[in-house]
Amino acid sequence: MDLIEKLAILADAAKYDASCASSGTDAKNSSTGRGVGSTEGMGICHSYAPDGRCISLLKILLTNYCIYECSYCVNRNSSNVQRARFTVDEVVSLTLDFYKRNYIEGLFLSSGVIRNADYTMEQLVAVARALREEHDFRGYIHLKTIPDADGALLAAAGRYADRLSINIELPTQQALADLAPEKDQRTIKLSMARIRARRDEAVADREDWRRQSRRSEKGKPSAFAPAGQSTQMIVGAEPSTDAQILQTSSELYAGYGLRRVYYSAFSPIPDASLRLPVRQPPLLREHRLYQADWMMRFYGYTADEITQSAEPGRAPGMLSLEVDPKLGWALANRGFFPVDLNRDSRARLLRIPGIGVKSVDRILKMRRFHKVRLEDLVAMRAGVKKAMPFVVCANHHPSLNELDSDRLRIRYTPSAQQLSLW
Amino acid sequence: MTQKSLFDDADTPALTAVRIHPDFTSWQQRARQLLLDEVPPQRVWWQADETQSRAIATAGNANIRVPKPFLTQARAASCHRNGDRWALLYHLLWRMTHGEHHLMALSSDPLVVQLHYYAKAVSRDVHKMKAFVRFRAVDGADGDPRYIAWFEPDHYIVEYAAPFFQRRFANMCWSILTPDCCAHWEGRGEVWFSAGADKAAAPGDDLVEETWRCYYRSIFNPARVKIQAMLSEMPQKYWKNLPEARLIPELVRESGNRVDTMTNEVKTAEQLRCGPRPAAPEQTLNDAIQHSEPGSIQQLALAAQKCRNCPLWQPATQTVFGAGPVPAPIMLIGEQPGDQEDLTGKPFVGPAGALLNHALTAAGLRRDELYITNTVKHFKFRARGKRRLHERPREEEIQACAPWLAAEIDQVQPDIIVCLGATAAQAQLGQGMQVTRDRGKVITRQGRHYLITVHPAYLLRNGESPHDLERFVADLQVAARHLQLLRSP
Repeated sequence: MDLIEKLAILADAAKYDASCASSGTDAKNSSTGRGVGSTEGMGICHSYAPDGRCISLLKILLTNYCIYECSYCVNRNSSNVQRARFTVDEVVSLTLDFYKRNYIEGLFLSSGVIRNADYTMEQLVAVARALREEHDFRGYIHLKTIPDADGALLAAAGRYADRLSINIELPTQQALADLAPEKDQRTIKLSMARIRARRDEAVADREDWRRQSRRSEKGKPSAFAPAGQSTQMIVGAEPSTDAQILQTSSELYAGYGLRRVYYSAFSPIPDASLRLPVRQPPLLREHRLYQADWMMRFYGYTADEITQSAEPGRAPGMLSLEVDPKLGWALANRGFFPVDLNRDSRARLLRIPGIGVKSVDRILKMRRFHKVRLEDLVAMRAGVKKAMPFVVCANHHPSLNELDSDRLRIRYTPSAQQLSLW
Repeated sequence: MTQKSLFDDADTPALTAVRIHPDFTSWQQRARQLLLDEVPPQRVWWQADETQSRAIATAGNANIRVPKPFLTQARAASCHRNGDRWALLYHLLWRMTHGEHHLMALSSDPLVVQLHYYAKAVSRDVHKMKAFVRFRAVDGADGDPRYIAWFEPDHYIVEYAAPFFQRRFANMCWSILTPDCCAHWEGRGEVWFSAGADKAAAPGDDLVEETWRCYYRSIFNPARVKIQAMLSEMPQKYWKNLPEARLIPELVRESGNRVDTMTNEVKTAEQLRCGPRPAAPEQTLNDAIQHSEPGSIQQLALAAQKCRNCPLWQPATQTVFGAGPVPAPIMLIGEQPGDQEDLTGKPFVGPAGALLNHALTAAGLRRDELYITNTVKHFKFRARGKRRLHERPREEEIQACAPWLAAEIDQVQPDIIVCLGATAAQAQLGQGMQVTRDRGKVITRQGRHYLITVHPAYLLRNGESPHDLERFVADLQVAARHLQLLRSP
């Protein structure tokens, strides 16, 4: 099998992993080295596929042979897909060839589990080691971590990789037991805990080093996965609710310092398992979960607040598909409004539908010098129309009547036709 | 931009024509001089053209101070294609140095809006250049490959963006050709620039592009076509210079059929194709329990990992069982594991544990001679942003965990049990116990000796007052003395 054939199989096998981020890592570049590569904090999407997803990294599996039997997975043991396996050198040269032509920010390497966790992890680490040590590659590396792999392998992985990830796969232990019997939440969380502990340690070592009066670059402690860890949850393969999904996410963010939880709408795969028949992926639901996740991370909402607000026509524990969750919360909590743009706290301003973090910070700066008026929002290109019923400012007071009106909800509810996705 | 420029002011007499080379430093040098000469923006007519010589950057003037965000935004905006950018920048500079130092905070001011707009357009253009430049390798002069790209930016960004490529591809020789300006790097020295070029000057192909297209085709998921999302980030104007873009129409066209094929596939019976499946984690744990010494504390600890007597197991990482020698003369019982304990699986390893260690040493006790555990074996918390906030366990959770603690006591057979805090005290000795009232004295119940004291976390919350710490140590000393008493013949 030639390299292109392998690439076709092993990229296809990797495409169900949503993450392709290359942001938030240590700054490094090749001007002091002998290889190629740089990372400067901001991620770069080098291309977009017609599925709307960013292509930032060469995202491939080392092999799609896998002894596990996860029903939702295209690479599960019983799947009738064609199998292939890259050599370490093949992955290295693909990465460098692509990188030198500016197609990618780096490599996201994952693998089916072959033999056992340690053996698989060793193979992944070997690729990262070759890139970093033999080729002095300074681009981005994201390594999938196999839960239960040996501590020394994890240490090596964290030394070479910018980001490590372990997929939680499904929001509850019950769902995992049903669909991915070789995995369990305890093992997955233990691995996340180990990564967090090592990261905390590395960060503390760096701090100590920085405090030294006579410090040398040579003595600088090495970083451990400076871009942190992330995970992915599959949405819609089993009956877990959005409330369960977001609850699990918030626990992962709080417990293991995760940078991101990715949500991946369960998507048709070739040779699907009899247990999980093929159906359209719930893309809008996935989108709502990302919005809710954003609200938890940047807007100060808790998972409960987002999923528990009573709204008409909404299944218990599910986010509304009609309106975005921030607007949904506002509609369900009208007593919280109006928010005064000229007086209220940042935390309150952040809850106004249509107004994002950037606009809030601009309003806070501006109001030190003059009263904020509706025109200011227009000039800043904030979502004025959406925000109007919920804000008070120098020249605008929504009528109480309007804030309480049931028609308010209808105003924001798109017609069924606009809803259909294609 | 079709709108009338904000700075046209034809009526103003005595217009001064200022000629500069169109680059930020040249503008900066002239603007500085104009400010010192107190020339208001209405009187300046900026004329930028390539024939003017470039100014050389000099140190700033101590009398002119502008906020850093302005400098960053101005530098970006100066690359915008619109001719009125120099006038805009000078106008802003003038206002900032004439009573409106806070101008950048006024995000709705028309000139500030314009600056943001220009800066944003440029930074997006730069970002797209970093993303969509595609190098093609050709044989270079000395046998090493030279990487050459053709790109068509919207604005004058080549010089602004070049350092990025220099840092990233420091050890390659490369050229980026554009219609306005070309950048070249020889692997050392400085990036040099030449006049704009024709697309024909760039190489027409690279063998690796076929591999790249294979990757692009394979990474696309036909079941989730979202063309608008792709177009908003990768507008069609870029497609002609992206080797992978030619696949897009075909991929979209085929996607429906590919999904139908998956949907209509006739499944046969499932069989393993990659060898035997490994044991499930639960099985592995069960095997470990089976193989450990029956009735031992190790077996108890393993069995406790499976505990689901109450719902606390679900959000927690793991069961945190007791640790220490068995049997042990003293057993310490806390409330429940905290954040660090939950992560490591060991009791009292976090901040409260450090304080406990300190107090034990002060009381003349050795931690490695004690058995330390908790009333509840799972961490109960509320997730709040990046933190897990401790929550007190409820009665039913304490009850659910009681059999584990009873089994531990049974194994450890301590001479004295030290209850750290109210939860442990009440679980062992009944609801009537009050730490403040009952602490520091040996209580005997059904032949077993108990001592109540505070939980070290209480001391942490109270700012570790020396007095409180002394009393805590004194309580622990009571246990130590009691032990000596028991052991003296």
